[in-house]
Amino acid sequence: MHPRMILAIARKDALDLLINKTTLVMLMTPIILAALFAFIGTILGPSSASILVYNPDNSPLARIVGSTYTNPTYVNAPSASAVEAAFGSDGARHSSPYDLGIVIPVGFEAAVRAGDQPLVQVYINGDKNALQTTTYMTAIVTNYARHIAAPADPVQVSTVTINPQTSATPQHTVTTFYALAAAMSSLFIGLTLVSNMLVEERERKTMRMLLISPASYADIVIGKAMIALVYQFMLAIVALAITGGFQGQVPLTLLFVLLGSLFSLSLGMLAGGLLQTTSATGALSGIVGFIFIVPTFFLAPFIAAPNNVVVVLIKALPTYYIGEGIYQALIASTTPLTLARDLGVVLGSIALLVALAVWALRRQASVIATG
Amino acid sequence: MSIQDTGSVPTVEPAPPHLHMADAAISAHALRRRFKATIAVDGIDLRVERGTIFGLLGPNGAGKTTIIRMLTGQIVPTSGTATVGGFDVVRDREQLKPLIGVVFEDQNLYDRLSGRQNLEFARWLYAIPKRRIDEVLDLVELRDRARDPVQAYSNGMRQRLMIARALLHEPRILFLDEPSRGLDPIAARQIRQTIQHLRDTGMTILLTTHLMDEADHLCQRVAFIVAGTIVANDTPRALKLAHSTPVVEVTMADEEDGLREVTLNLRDAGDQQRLATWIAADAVRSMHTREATLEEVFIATAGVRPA
Repeated sequence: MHPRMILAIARKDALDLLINKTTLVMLMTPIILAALFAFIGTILGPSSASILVYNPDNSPLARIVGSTYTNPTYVNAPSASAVEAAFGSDGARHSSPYDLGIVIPVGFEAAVRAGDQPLVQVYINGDKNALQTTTYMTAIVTNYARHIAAPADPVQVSTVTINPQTSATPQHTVTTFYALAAAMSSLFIGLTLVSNMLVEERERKTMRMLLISPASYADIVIGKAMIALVYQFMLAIVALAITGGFQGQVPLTLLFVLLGSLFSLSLGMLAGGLLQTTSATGALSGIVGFIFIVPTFFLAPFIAAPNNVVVVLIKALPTYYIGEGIYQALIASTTPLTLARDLGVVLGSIALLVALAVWALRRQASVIATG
Repeated sequence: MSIQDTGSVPTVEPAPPHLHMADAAISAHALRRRFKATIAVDGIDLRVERGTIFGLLGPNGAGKTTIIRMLTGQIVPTSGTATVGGFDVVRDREQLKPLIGVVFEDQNLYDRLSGRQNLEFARWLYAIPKRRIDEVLDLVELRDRARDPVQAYSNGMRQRLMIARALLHEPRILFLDEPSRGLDPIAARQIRQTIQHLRDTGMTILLTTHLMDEADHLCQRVAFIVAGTIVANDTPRALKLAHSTPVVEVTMADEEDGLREVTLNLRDAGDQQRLATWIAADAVRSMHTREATLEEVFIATAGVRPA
């Protein structure tokens, strides 16, 4: 191996990949997908609620009402009439930037304690709230007032929850899924790049030129794998960044993205050693791309995957364990057991693929040498 | 191996590999290459002196490219030995690489890269100074188009760029595989001029071609190869002399039609007598000797057309 040759080949390929419009589009695909996921997440995920409040005495009631939303933002109104003006009268069709409005009178808590039955006005924007919101709001305000009037709870309530949700918020769950999907869908790029680069050299007969140069076949393969790894890893990182994937156990996320990239590259080197045309590598990349993407859906936090044959088959894919490693790291739930299992399967698969790729490439080199 | 006797001109038999090896830039002995059931090259002997242009001539599929691929270390001979620049083509493949430049039969350039970027890549591989790129671009007259992508080049420009790439690391021995193939006459002439220039610099060149005129103009020595076997190996001049018939083309005055052209064989006693009579009668208006072309020699020697 000659580092200078490897670097020369990597430099040439880095340039050639960027000039090649087809490859450039392919390189952009994971970034476009990640941006799309992030955009969909913004649209479909719970958004922050804007609450217009007239609350001259800073009553805690405003916060209690706001806590029913995921991410409330409070806007202080100068007067009760300003809140009324922002929403209009009951039943009116009126466009308002606010989800909710609330007018809490001066001396609200004191008036409740005195039994004066003060009036709290709640304005609900039907465009941004569920049908049951009126009932919830009435119950919340009434319950708060009763608590002020008689602090002792009139009843004890005990709850039992089976299949409890994780502590993650819905927004967190969606972000995790999109980050996982973006990272996994970017991982097949390495496979496509390295197999294409190897086959293209033979197809264009430039391999002959390379083999009479001081570069060895090993230099050529390593140079190409190196540049594919750089592009692959960078793309996965950008995809993660766009989808908010730098959360949880970041070093472990990066480790599994790197292992996923190496898995993809070894698969690409194997394909590059076995296939003869770029059309064949393109077709293979399309098919193999699924083994990277499909496990994502079986790891999605909001899907309870049943234990059936399909799940068993999916769990037989090494990419499932790459995905699981990334997912566990994203939600900061990696345990020594899951880490050992995921690392074992992924590293074992990479070792097997590298061995097969070396065999295929050696066979290819021997075919080139013997004509 | 079968080297055909070329007639009265002394035939230079290739020297056995152990003789004068130091003087030969390229030397092959009993070189053979089989592809499954097909014998592409059948035990050829070859010797190319330093600083000369040697032409391997033959029809498509004769084995010319296979010989080049063996001599440049691209493929391993089935049997036989060969040295290039004093290095064994199998055992000393790595030492051989910096000594040789190859212009391939196929235009194997990186089409998306510019001409200069193609040369830059070769420069990185051979670790040579950057200024050398401009030197070779000037040599092949491509400097003004060097920044264009190769896919915008004509066939002739691509061929010139391949020559530039092969010369970039200043090899001592250059292999040109069908350098004029598919080129228009002007582009082919440009390539020939470049080769002539290289010959003047003292470079050893082995070229394959099926264009006999090209070989005749460029090569100091040629070998005819048919079905993997060398059937003749000599200087173009010697080959032509050995196979030509002493012929004169006579233009003479004719009483009925004005002028008449007649071809006479000077070895034929009747033709000799007729020529003497016409000269005595002052009927000869012009008279030219005609030498056999290399193509005619090839057909006579090999029994097939060169392409």
